[in-house]
Amino acid sequence: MTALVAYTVARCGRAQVWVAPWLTFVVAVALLDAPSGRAADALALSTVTLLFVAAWLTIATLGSQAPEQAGVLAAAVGGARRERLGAQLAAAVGSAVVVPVSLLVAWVESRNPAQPASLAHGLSVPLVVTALLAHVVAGVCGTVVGAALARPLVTSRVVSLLVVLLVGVLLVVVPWAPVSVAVSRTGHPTWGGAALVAAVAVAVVAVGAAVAWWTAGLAARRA
Amino acid sequence: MRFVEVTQRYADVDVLAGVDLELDGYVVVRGPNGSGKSTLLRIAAGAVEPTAGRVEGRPRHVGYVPERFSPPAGMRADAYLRRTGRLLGLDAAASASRAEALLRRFDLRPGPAARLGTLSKGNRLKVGLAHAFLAPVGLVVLDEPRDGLDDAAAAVLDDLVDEALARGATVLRAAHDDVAPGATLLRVGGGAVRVERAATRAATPGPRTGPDSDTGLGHGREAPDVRVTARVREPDGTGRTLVLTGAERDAALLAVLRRGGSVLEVRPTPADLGRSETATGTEAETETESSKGHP
Repeated sequence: MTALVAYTVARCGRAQVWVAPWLTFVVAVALLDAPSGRAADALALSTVTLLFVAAWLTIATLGSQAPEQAGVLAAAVGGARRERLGAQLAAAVGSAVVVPVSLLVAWVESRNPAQPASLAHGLSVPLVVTALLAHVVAGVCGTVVGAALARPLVTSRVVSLLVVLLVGVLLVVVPWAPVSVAVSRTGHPTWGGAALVAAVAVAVVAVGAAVAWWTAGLAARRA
Repeated sequence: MRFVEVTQRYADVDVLAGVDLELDGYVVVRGPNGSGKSTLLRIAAGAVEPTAGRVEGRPRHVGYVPERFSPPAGMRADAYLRRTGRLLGLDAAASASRAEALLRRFDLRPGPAARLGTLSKGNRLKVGLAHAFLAPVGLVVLDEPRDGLDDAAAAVLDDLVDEALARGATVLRAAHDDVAPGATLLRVGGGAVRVERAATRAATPGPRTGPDSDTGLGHGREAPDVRVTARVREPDGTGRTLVLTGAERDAALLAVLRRGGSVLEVRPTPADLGRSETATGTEAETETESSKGHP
């Protein structure tokens, strides 16, 4: 699986598949400045952004390879399902790359001299821990949703985009939806909140792995 | 490797319908366009899972060349093979050295550092074939690999197939022609796969023959079942009489000519002569009489 992830990272790097989602993330997180100027709000915002960017990046990763080439890799690694899971894992790695940007923007936010009040709400340890766990929740949710909406399961880009937006918004606004919990706890960081987000992250990784396994099986039959 | 009740459905059409199949040695798959050859190969290689049924005993790693080989355009040929070698279970050093050796053997132009997107169709296919034979895998699946290859590369392909068979691998190959006279021949069509001819030689390969060779000579397609008696003279002057099945005929005679011998006469064999010998088919085994110093 490591070799397959390395291959996919090299392929997407060479073809610049991830550049557009990465730049979009950086620009969105930098420009959509938290109105309050609080680091916690900046990190909550970047969590939401990561959800959508991870979904986009996954759709781009899985859709940027010729089906015939996916077949060559599937044969080499022991099956189409395994190949699909490897590509999804690589997409998750690609999404994780932007997480330091979130922390950097929040750090800059916390040191902004124009907003002295922000010093009181700067980067605390519970905030950083909660925010990192929240990014795991958003990244995994985005990757799993993107994998379910990528070729060959959904061939229309428009349909993929609309469903990503719909599911993404639901994950953010519905109370007790995983991203919703992660975002709200990041906005008001405490050690208790961090523990809750950690539990959500574990659940999301477990359920996400099961869903990814299932959608990879569906894709393997349609490859 | 075994297909058990394998069905593949596309848009309500069963391209393969409940296929049971045992694959071993050298297997050539024939059939008209759209008959399901490529589907059969894709399922065998593990590139797609069948709609129903299962494939048993497939090796973990399979060398597969699809009908349209579309590798990542921006990657260098050697880097591609080094990376896919890792997927096939090779370590980094083995992957790199084997990739280098195979690209040299195929004479990739302009060179191993070329980007895959800049290669001609034939040269790109060489990279695909090099991938399929990169590691000592137990199964190699080739979907019409001759298309677009020059004669020299086709000869390398035949040698690689022979080497894979010699180490005990199964080679499954789709082709429009009967490229390997000794191989099992399957015909796909109407959702079914039928064994048109069982293997007439063991997996250990004989001389390279057939239209894939650099001669481009024919292969008895007009009368595959005709048994003939051929009188030949070896380069050392030894005269021999061979009884050959249609499928082995051209291969054996071509081998004599390649050795520098001559074919003196070929005529249909009466039904009662050489019946028992024709099952195995190489000229040595079907020799029925010989006479030293034949003119």
